[in-house]
Amino acid sequence: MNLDDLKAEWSTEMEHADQMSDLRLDVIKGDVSEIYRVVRLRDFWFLLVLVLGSFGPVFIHWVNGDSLGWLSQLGVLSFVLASAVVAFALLRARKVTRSDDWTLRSRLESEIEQLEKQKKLGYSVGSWLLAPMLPAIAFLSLGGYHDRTGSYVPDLSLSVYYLVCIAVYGLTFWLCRREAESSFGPLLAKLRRLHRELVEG
Amino acid sequence: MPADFEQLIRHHGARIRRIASRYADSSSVDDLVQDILVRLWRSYPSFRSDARIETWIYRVALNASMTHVRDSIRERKGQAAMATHAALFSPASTATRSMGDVLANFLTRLGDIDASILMMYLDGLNADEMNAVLGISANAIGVRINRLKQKFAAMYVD
Repeated sequence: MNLDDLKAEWSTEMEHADQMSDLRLDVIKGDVSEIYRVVRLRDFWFLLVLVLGSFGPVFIHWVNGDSLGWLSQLGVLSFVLASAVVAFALLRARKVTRSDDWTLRSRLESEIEQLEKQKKLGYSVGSWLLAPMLPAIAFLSLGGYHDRTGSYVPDLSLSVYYLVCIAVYGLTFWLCRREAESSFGPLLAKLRRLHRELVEG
Repeated sequence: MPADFEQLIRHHGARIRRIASRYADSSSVDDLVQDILVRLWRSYPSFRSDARIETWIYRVALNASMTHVRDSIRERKGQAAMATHAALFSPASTATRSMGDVLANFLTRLGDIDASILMMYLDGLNADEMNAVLGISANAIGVRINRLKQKFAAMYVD
């Protein structure tokens, strides 16, 4: 007996096995619509958050007009710029090299690239989220405080607010890095193993 | 949904189910089959009729299967351990087995990629067609088929 003897068995199985009598065509159609609906909904919420994140402070600035001091105005500007940096980083991480190559190798490489980008995004949360947001929040809060009190020296409540911000920053940094490792690490290892198995044999 | 797509899927249903059953455990085979059907339906407009239909089906089905494999790492660890256990403790002698058993057993004992090559080989796809599915050179595929033959002989030929 050799491997080619299995061809007849395979052929028989293909001819006599269940010919998809339980084909759920309506479900297929529904699933396809669902995929597009989920993608559209996700993109809508994503854009909404970005637009609100960017223009919220601008609106506050417009409502308050000249009553905002230079530090608050700097805070608004910093917040808009920081939102743009965050949006750019998120969009760049979603972008993967697309080609017309639909082979398994190409798809695996594309998946690996996408996961590597997401993992890197989690690891570098300090540079694309926390660092740009830090001056924006500091300027906005200190600017608002100065507009109310006329002082640049934070009182106890503002100091506590800063301490809470630092704690939240630290927690965000730690959680994002942990999530990047636990969510993407095993998947990446699995995909790399499959890729090696495919390419190196 | 065009009638020809429905007809095509019905005709190749066994093939799709066989591929899915290699990459999913029994409780999730139906889900994987459904996922493959969805992907086939979505890529159907781009299917070129000059290409062999099995090539297109393997391409789509294996991509879906690898995604399934990726998403079910934990479950598959247990499944793989059980399969290995079963394979080790089942008699390798062909005298006590039907060809169907041998085929199922051999598919279980191969890695995910080698199993895909075996299925395409048994389905009569040539090295160039497998290259179009997997993206590795025809030479490399030839080498791996030879290795599969040797492995098969070592395991099942008395």
